[in-house]
Amino acid sequence: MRRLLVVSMTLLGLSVGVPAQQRTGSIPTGGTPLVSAADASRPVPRLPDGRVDLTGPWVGGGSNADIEREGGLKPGELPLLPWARKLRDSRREQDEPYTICLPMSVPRINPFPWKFAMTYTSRGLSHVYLLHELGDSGAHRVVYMDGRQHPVDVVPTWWGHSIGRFEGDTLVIDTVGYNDKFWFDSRGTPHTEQLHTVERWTRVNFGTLVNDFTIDDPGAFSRPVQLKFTAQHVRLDVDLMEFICLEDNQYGIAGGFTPAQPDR
Amino acid sequence: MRKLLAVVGIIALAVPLLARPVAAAQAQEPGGNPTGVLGPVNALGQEVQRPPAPTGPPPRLPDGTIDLGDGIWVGSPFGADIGIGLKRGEVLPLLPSAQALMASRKGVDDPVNWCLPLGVLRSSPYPFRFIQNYTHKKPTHMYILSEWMRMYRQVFMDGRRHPSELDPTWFGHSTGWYEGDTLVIDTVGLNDKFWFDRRGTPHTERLHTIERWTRVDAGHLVQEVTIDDPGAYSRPFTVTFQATLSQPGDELMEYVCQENNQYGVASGSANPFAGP
Repeated sequence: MRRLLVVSMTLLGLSVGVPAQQRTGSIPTGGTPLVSAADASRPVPRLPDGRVDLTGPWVGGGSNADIEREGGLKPGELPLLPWARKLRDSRREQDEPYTICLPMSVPRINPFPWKFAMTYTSRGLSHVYLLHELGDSGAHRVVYMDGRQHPVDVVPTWWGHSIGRFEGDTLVIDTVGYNDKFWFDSRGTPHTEQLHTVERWTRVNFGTLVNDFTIDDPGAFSRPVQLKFTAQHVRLDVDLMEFICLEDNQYGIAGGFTPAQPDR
Repeated sequence: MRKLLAVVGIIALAVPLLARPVAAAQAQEPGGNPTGVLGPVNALGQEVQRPPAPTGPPPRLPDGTIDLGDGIWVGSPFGADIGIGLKRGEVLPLLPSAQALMASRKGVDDPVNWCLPLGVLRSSPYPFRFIQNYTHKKPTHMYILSEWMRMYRQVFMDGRRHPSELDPTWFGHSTGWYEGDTLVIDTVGLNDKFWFDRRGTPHTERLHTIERWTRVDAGHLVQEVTIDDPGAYSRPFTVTFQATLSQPGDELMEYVCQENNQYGVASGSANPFAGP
């Protein structure tokens, strides 16, 4: 099973130009079973307090091979600055930090399932966690829901600093403090530490979750850009599996690749 | 900062410290001594003075269940030696095969060095927290997040049983329920790769653990674990530890172990988990 997962990761996660990927706003879901069409069209479930239940698990909802196409833009529409376009075109897929099990980060939600864990505490909904089946390559992400602001001086990290709030039924996640090491997609679309993202997650019916995604990064883009991704609900009896990317990761050796280490 | 954190991580892993050093931007205090954001920095590093954990009654969820998830826990369990959790005078009932395996293990081969998971019982010295999920159904899952590699354990709270046939994994298959104010977690389906502690205390794939987590007051969480592994131990035994609530406002930090992990390269060690 472990080997199978690794193989499917290589096939799904790393292959460029997946032919089946014609629909904008979607990424291949691989073998992940989805809810039936009848279940998907059911109404949005709600928590006892009336808030929309975003739990999932979901598959999709972000970029994978090409953020421009998957986010709903036409080729060339992504407003990359010339240096950033040049950098993207010079990047080789096999050098992506993810190939050596480093985090994919936002909005790179690959063909693996993930879910929102909305916390149930004596202080109400204090955090929302995003749990990724990716396991050790960035297993969880935290969104502070307690009304705090971003710190003034954030140490750049793979996942940045995320604060969230509900606007009606939409969960809005605002993130700054990213490092510039992860790629938006296996094509190599870059960003800088000036990156600021806004995700607007809206569950439109039981089976569908829309991510209206804003990239604001004056370091790499000539203007803020608006993208749209759609996640689908995983079949109800399916839970996140364990995936340990680093266990016997033969990527570099087996492929003859020596990925560029971001820290070098 | 990232490198500093990684260094701190490695140091903390090797020698679990009671007060974790905090890497902080250094400045000069009026007397000329360097000072970090948390106080003076001396030859031993950043001195961290923190108030004791609270002792009032533990907070409860709206349904009356004890809330384990309102903060960060540190100090439990395991780390250097699982044996410290035994009753006084008790020794680990290792079978000869397990004793021999343990004796053959060297610290450099600890899977943790390769950024692999700590397994079910070992989280120390890293902070961890419980996430009770909240859905339109009853709470169905409990997650235990660890600062170590941002990993999470998944505990099914919806009454399901263990599957009859499991692929062995690092975290196994965990089901949980409450007995009074105690959270009980029953886990099977574990692989035999992780070590219980730095000494290399072993187990087999027959391992079955029963954890009993009791928040005895607001600031203290007792973990009692029964380890039942007829493949490595002559009888089931129980180890007990206590975790302490970290200060309000503390959060798990980001720690990406494999980022520029030079362990194998620097030490000349070969990854024991690499294939042929």
